[in-house]
Amino acid sequence: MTRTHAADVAVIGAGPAGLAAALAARQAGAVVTILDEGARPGGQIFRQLPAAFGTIGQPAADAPSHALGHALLHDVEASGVPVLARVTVFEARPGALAYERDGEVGVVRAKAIVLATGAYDRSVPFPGWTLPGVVTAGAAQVMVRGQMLRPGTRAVVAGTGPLLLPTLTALQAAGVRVVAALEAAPRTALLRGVGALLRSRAKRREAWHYARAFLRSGLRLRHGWTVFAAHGADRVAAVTIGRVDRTGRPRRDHEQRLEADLVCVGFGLEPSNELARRLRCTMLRGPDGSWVPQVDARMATSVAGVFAAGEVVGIGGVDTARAEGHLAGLAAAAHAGWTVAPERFAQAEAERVRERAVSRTLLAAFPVLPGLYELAAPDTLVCRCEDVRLREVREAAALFGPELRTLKMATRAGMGPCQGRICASILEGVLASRLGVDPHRHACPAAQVPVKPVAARCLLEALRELG
Amino acid sequence: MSSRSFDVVVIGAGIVGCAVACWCARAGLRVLVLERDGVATGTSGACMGHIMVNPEPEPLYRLTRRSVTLWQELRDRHPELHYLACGALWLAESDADLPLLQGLDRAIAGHGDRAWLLDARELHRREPALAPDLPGAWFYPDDAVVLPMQACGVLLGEAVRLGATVCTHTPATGVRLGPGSRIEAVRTPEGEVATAHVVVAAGVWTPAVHRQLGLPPVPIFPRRGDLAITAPFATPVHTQLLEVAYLRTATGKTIDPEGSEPDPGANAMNVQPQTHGTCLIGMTRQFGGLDRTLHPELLQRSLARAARFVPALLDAPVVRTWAGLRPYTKDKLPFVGPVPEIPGLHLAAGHEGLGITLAPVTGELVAQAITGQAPSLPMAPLGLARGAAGARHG
Repeated sequence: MTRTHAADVAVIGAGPAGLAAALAARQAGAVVTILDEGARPGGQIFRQLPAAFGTIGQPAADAPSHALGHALLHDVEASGVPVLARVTVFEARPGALAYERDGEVGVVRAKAIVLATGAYDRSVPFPGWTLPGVVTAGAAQVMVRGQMLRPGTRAVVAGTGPLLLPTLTALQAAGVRVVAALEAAPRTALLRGVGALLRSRAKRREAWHYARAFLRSGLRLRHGWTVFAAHGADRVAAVTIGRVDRTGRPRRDHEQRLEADLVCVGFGLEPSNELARRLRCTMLRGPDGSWVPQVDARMATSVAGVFAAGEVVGIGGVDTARAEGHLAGLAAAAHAGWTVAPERFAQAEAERVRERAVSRTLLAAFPVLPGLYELAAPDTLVCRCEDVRLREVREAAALFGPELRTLKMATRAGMGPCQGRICASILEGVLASRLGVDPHRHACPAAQVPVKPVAARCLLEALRELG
Repeated sequence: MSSRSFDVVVIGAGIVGCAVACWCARAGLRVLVLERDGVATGTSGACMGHIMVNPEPEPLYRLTRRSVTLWQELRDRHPELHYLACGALWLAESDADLPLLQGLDRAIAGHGDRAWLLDARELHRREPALAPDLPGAWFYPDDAVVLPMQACGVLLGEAVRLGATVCTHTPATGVRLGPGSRIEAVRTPEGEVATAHVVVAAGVWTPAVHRQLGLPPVPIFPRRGDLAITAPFATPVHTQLLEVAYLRTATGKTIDPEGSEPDPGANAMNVQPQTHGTCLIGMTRQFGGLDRTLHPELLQRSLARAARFVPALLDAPVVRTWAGLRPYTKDKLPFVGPVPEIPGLHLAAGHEGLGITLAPVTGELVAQAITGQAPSLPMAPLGLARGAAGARHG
């Protein structure tokens, strides 16, 4: 028997946006259900250890945002809103969701859906990037903060943007020796970023927390540097690093080789937008080029009863996510028929506008550097699922033109189980940097059921249940 | 399009257009492929990949047999082609289906060809993941499965290396006819291209292309199919599977695509392992115009039917589902060859579920017609004239 739940508001994602949405909707009177992939709520940023680890305690000193996270988690727990944990939502229609947990299917019918699905790491391919020992910043945080694992002993940390600092701090707290910390963006980006941070009290405190930890570490952040290649037979043993120009293009004049068994890369985030695409929300290009659902002043997407908040509508960080989640929760409750006072809306809308403005400035300070896509060598994999190398993409583009769908046709790049989550932006990036193809010529890819791989029996059951 | 003059202009870059371009280029013709969208973005980007000999009826046997041989040559010529030489098992669901298997065996023997009837024990030794109660099957060894989009790339790639030009996102907007209604040029948004031959290989969009170009009507009807595919290495079977009862029900034989009654849709089990260890699960059929939206209820029936024959499929992770259109003709044969009223105009469309199978023989026949060679197979059953009656009624 399929488990079915009924709710006024279903919230997908238990990070800051989802938690805030659930609380706001609950406080407005709505019956709320949260669905989340994690074992415990909190999302990427407020990641909690598995319950079995509870007695060991938190490994790293908590940042101010974590205190906020604990408060949110506590409030949600106190509110009695149920959290369906470890579930994968693989189908969404307006008014209904289907999820899988341990091979079982559940269906949630809800008058309103809030997409608070967050983001995942943007991958930039370079020679050796698929070797064991190369991990994304997000994966490193999961290992350190979610599993209490030390992912390596000597690390090169490379990437761009404000998330590098928490990554460095987490690795150091786990006892990893960071041999190089590389920010690809020039120092001026940092200054612009600091300008954005100064406009927000919460962000100031957060930045100060990490900056202080970083300064105490004695590490030096090298601006305009990045990882060029990871070397090793069956796992990382050494890393080549080098300078990049203002656009991220590698300069081959200052290459250095370092011994390391861990390369941690964080080139920014991409919104987890597959449910928005599946629901056929109108999608727009965000300022960093990612596809995000269009939302109105109250976080409503173009599809009636579907709201979106946080990273999925544009990378913005924890404060924006919380503000947008709160607003989306109010709007979703109102959609489900609960009364929300106009002044509550006005306040929430104003806060959302303020936070989003800050995060937009921060995002603009650390743009996706197009030249980084020149790091890949001809035999570097650009699609990991289907083992497609850059050379094959270039050859196919020369024969058939540089269109994503056509390249998929010729090379199978983008057809694997990741459904393009990892490789779509890589393909756009290499086409732009190697062949001068304007990324804006590519249309937003459609998403079909299941948006994430699921056993055929679950798909069958969900289709029976949802019609 | 640096040159403004070609021997042949192919309209459509699906599997059939790509094969026509390939065989025309092999014949030394200067080929231009016009595609209003991208390569393989229509039916060929949304279909199954079977290369399959149909034992009956006779014209279809000849066509499919010739084309399977041409595919085997392509496989030898292009090692990069993802070609799984898996053969096909036509499965009986119960003893009542066994006469159908014997009928297939008789038909294939009548062509002097070779296949095997398997009893339950032989069948389950070959495919242990099949449902234990299946009583037998008929095995045809030469059938295969390709990845359709990749196959388009291989065929078009050969054409391009032989000098063909491909213009994507470039529709044909008109044709210029000379004395005797002979083809003289094709118009595109980028200007006019002189040519003596035009091949319309636009699948379900062929009637629309003909309307746009002012050419005779073609009775081809879009018929949607819904599909699912598993993750790599997840296939529980290694041979292509079809339920033989499909021959009896012929997936909704009685539905008239031009009738006023809505088509409730039909489905039959067709499961195809691919070179990646992925497994394609079909099939469904439903008339419903050019709408390509997946039909969840039919897909669900199709998955359940597949699980009836291969219970282990229920545990395989499905990564994607989608729907595509099949170009249906009333007598289940494609339109291939010259259109007599318009000298220089050739059709290569209407292959329904056999587009991948029949693309090479279609390319060969069209190239033979253009170069004035004798056709390798009789063309009469493929002419537009035999379908014109249907068109007039419509």
